[in-house]
Amino acid sequence: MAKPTRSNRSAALEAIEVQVVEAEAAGTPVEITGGRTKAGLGRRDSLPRLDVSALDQLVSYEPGELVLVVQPGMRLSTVEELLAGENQHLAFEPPHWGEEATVGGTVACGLSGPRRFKVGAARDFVLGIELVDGRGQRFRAGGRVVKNVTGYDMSRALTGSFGTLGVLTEICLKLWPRPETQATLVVDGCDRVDALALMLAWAALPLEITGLAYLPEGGSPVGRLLARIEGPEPAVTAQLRRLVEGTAGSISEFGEAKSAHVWKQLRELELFQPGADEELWRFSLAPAHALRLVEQLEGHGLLRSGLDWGGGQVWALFPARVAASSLHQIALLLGATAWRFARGPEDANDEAFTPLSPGVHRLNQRLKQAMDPKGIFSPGRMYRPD
Amino acid sequence: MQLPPPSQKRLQQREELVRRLRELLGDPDQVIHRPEDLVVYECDALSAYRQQPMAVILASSAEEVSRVVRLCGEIDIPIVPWGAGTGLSGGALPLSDGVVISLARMNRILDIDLENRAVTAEAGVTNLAITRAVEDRGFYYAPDPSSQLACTIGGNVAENSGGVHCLKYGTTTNNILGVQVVLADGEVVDLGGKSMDQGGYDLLALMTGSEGLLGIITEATVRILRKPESARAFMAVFDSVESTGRAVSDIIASGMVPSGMEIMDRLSIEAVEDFLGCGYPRGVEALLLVELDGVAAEVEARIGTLETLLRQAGATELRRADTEEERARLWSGRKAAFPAMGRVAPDYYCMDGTIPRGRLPEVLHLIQAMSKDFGLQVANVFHAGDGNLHPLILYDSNAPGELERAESFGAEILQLCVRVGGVLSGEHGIGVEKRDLMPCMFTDADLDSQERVKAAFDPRQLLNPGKVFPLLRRCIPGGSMHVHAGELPFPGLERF
Ligand SMILES: Cc1cc2nc3c(=O)[nH]c(=O)nc-3n(C[C@H](O)[C@H](O)[C@H](O)COP(=O)(O)OP(=O)(O)OC[C@H]3O[C@@H](n4cnc5c(N)ncnc54)[C@H](O)[C@@H]3O)c2cc1C
Repeated sequence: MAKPTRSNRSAALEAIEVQVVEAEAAGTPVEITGGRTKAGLGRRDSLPRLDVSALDQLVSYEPGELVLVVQPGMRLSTVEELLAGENQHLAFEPPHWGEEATVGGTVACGLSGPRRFKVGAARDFVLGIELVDGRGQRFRAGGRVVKNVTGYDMSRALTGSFGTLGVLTEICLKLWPRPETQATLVVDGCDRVDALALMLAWAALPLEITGLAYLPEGGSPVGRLLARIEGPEPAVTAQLRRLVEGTAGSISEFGEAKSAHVWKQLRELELFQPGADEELWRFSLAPAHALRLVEQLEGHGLLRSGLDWGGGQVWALFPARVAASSLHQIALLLGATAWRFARGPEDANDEAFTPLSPGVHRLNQRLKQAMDPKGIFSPGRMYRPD
Repeated sequence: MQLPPPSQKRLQQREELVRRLRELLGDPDQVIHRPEDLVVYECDALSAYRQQPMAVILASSAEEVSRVVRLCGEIDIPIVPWGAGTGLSGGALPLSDGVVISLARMNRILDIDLENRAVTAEAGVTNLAITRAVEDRGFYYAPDPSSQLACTIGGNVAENSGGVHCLKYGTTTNNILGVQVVLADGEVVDLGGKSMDQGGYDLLALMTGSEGLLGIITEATVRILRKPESARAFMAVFDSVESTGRAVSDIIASGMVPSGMEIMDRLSIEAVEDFLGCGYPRGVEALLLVELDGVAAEVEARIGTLETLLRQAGATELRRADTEEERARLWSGRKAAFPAMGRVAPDYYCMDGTIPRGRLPEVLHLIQAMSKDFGLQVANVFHAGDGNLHPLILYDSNAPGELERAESFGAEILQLCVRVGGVLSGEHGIGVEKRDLMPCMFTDADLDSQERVKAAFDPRQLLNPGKVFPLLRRCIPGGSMHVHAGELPFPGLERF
């Protein structure tokens, strides 16, 4: 059999390769950008941009395979519309944070929405990639099938690398059928101890609970617990009934439209938009530790917080210029990891991510070095270069 | 199949190596070095390739693994990690100038955390032991390779193993939260933990499926799930393998995700009936087993649609298991397929490639045509839901030329998989077995990038050298799992 050859050339792709080769030759770093809706994540350097939004073609979509191949500049909203036409979706429920959100940016930032704790993260849905590395070499990893152990899983490793390892030029995603319908059980006036206990208990039930969040009610010590159930209509109704039976308090239900709306609000962080003198943080941790985290954050001026992923993800607002290193320290002690969101283009966001242990940090550097030896892709985006 | 030529310098160090290893470890019994004792470690379940290492170390802690790795680094001795040796691609095949580090003694479950739905286990804990440890509380660990009674969680992570339920629940990579690893320089690091996202690059993902080339896994934290409250199995009979393949695509396209979908063809059905008599219909071309699981109300809601789809796809007979006993009976034939096949022919040869599901009818048809060309029968029993084929090529190693014919046939099947958009291995790994086929799927640039990852973790190439990466970058057909006279490696295990 002949060696594989690749012939997906296009002017847009060549332009990108040329830019990478030039940057490499000159040793001048660039920032890979798509729709720039996630520019607030990570440390900020003002680097020349390598814009991939022109790479916006659909490569292939075979609904029967539950597989989609697209170029990275394709808008997330375009993809979602396309999939909805076939009753399919990106099950990890990626946040958009703006109309210009692209598939490439979603994968590069490794972002997952409320359904994550049930179905998996963005990286669980990336089956294969094509990439241009820091040498200007284009290569592929993974494949277009769901079950594959041929070679290292570079597709997952590139997911969440914030554009620091290479330019994604093609992405193969695993799709899932869209649940027929959804509904959400709402418990109001719930204190947070009860809320976390309920979330932990419900997440462990053999039910199709695909969203579990606890949100503050303006200024009061209590909040609203939300539990989303998805599936065929009779099954959703039956499960709602089971949850209601064992639960005390002020209970109501959101039907399909309202349920979809409230989870979209959470996914899009509408309830956690920082005010002029505030900043937003996000923590990922073992769900049962959520309250301990919130209590400790309160000691550092926490203004408002919300729990997602059944407690596994905590959103938190602080007064601007809270001591970032203290918050990262809290995260570290709880085995959590934190992101600080930049407050705007002027905010350098120096301590964007919780530092890694020395051994893991070294491995990260070695991987970066292997993929991008001259450090041309946003070398300071994730951690301060040393 | 070639391995890197043994280094005389290393072979000459054998005595010193054994002496220093014994000094290093508390108990001299932890170092196996006599040839008669090393026999057990000559090969994994790909028993066509055998070779003894200079020594086997039975490690009892990460700290010991680290000490051994440092010593090996100091005197330049390559290391092969070893779980239970059930691997089917020769990944754990020892190197004659190296050592094997066995994790089998590290078999303690360290933490059961039901609140966070996580279990932390040492690398040598078996896959099934994890489920056993939590099943009385209604939980289980989802990936279920049929070797689960014997294979270790460390080996599962190293191979990214699957099972019959990965269509819905994913493979190992989708079900682990963290690992503790001893790196090539002896440093012990934790990748991931109990949180759903971790900081930095996803190194856990690279470690999963790394076949012992990037680090030695000493601990794993896995996600456990609550047992589904309902599971219903169905059997549909079809008049051709092709139409069975189409039924699979139709079911997926309808928006249903069954927990498992398995196809068996005529040859395997007849073999199973002769072997077990589990009640499959005789004289039919193919059957499809489908299982739905989840919330009872949801399963019930989908049964009607499933049955309609199966009929529309041409099912000539449909059976539904209404009791748990009937369900077990339906699956029993599938589980006995491999041993049953061992009674039909003196030898068989097991392949493992994945293809896009929509290409199932065409590929199955071509495999039948190839079977005529090669003059060898082939049986198909496989994970149809994920397009993961396991063609079993029947041959007789005593008949001159048959083995070679079987090997060429197998290589052609794998190349066909790649040609229709699939991959060389769905779950058994590359190891030494498919190493030389890698250039059929990957370009030089693809392989370069992977070798750079390897070098970033293990610059001196001390961890499992000679595996996964082709020694020559040419597309050369390789071998596969051979079974002679029905003597399977690990005969006590169920096979899928
Ligand atoms: C009868 C039978 C049925 C099977 N069914 C299935 C199936 O349904 N699905 C499936 O996916 N596989 C199946 N397999 C293949 C095999 O069981 C899996 O690949 C399993 O995960 C191997 O585990 P092990 O502990 O035996 O690893 P080993 O065979 O000992 O090692 C496998 C590879 O992992 C490396 N390794 C082992 N432990 C570690 C560690 N702690 N750290 C780093 N590297 C390590 C080894 O170096 C080697 O490369 C089957 C095998 C048999 C014999």
